[in-house]
Amino acid sequence: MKNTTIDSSVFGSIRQRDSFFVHARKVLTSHPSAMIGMVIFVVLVILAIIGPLVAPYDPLSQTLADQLQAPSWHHLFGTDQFGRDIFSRILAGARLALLIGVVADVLALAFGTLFGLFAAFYGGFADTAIMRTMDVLLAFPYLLLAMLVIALLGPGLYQAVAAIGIVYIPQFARVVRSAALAVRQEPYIEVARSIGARPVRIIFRHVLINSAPPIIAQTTLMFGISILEVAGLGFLGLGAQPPQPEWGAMLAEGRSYILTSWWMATVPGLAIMFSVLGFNLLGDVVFDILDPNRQHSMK
Amino acid sequence: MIGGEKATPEQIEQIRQQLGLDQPLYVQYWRFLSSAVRGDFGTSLQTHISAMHEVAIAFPLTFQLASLSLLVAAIFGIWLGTIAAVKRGTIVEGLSMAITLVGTSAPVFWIGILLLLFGGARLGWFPIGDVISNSIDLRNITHMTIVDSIITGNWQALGNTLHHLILPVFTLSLLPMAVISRITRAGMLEVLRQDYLRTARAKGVRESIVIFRHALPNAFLPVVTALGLQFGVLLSGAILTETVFNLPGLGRLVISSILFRDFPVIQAIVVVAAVAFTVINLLVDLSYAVFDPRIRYE
Repeated sequence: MKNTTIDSSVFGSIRQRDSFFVHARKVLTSHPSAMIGMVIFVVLVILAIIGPLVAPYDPLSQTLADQLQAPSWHHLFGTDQFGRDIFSRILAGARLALLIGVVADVLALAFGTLFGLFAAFYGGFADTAIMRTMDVLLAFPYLLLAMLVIALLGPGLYQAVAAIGIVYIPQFARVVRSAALAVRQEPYIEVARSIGARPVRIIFRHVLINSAPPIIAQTTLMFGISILEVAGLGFLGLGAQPPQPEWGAMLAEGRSYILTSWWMATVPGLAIMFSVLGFNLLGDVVFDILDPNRQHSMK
Repeated sequence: MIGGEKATPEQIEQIRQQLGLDQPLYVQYWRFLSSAVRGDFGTSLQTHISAMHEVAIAFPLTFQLASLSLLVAAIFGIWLGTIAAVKRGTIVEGLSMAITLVGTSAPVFWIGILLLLFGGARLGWFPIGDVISNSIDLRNITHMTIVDSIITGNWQALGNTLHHLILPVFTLSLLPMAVISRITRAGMLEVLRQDYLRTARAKGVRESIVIFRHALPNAFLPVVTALGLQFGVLLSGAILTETVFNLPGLGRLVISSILFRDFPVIQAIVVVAAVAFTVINLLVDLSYAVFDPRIRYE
């Protein structure tokens, strides 16, 4: 890493791409916790893709003769009150969890970015109007605000995902706004403006791209948060409805059988914890990996 | 909906007039707003009791749970964070890191269920469900069982309600404890490098006094900010914790209201929670002056 900033600006595109992976690998290997996060993430993705292929049973098929069996070689994580194989349901739930994370995340990211960028770029009244609205949303406890959205939309998995996505829009708007405000001061924005680039082009091509690192870090953290919160809503009976193999809803079902069949609630809880743990660990170092002044951050 | 499925057009019209739904939207909104600021959100569609009254009974219990958890989280969080910063590379730092990781990743409702299983059912150390035993006679003044038992000097009731609250409070305090210990640790690592600590040590001040009198107060400001923000998280977590431990409070009320589409009660809950959250944050802002004498409010 002898190259200074002058080098990288001259050979920008080639060098950066090259050193990005080198740098990413260095950060990952120097933070063992990040490595664990990465492994959990990869495992989760693989399970979501191949899960249904390797699942020994149909996650929804009921075999009443096999109900409430303790974990064994036939049923790795035991069975539930309808004789459904919990291992197969956990695998199906992994796909659902990733989907929940992606959709809620994209929702919060898209609207939050849009609001944050416009607030930062136009300033003045637009800034005040947008950010004060976000402040009002931030004045409510998250879960309660999500419940309010569900009260309007009705309970269900899609509604829960939408509710969590909406609730976290202000967080993104704030992160994006502060990043964009810093970028807006940079000389190249003024250059772009002086050669007559349209505002929309400046906002999306220049401001957005250059404010990306904190936004991506927030997106990674949000992934874990949305899995956790949607599971919470599922647990309360306001999110995914039975028989959907969503982890939070499975936990809620297992709660009634906790005294006799501990595995029913324990296993989905572990699944939630490890997934969220993975994204939290990863989110902590993503910023380090993406930081454009990364030569400094490595010290 | 209120008149039932077989309501005649006349009945529907009558209910519409009663509720003011025949008025234009802005008149309706003005009516809602002007009664809302007076704390009147109408009557519950489920129980036909004033929505605000329903919330006034449920909220103190949730507030009690959240405040107690915040207190526990603050004490143990600050302690863990301080020790972790002072004794780097020891088992205490590992323990504090482990609590941080579990606290931020594990769902509160799952931890609650496991605690209930082991502490409540298997070992039988703790009672399951409710905030106080039915057999105990306690006069309701504030609806907060702890405050009520202290006011009336009913020590048996105090012990009983604390015994009921141990598991829920521990469950709920885990997440804020994790956040607080993390922030305390970061702040302390910063402060421990300062010159005035070396000066203090040089003039022979005992190590424990150096840490707790000289270093900790200087790392306090971000911790106080975090405490205020955590209160909102705690109100959310309280809803889940109450459901797990089957406690009466806002959690039970909000879920039954949502499933019943009882909008007056939902509105009342949301407004009360938002006001509480905002007031707490205002108090936190004001308390900066206590912890940092350089800040003065004119």
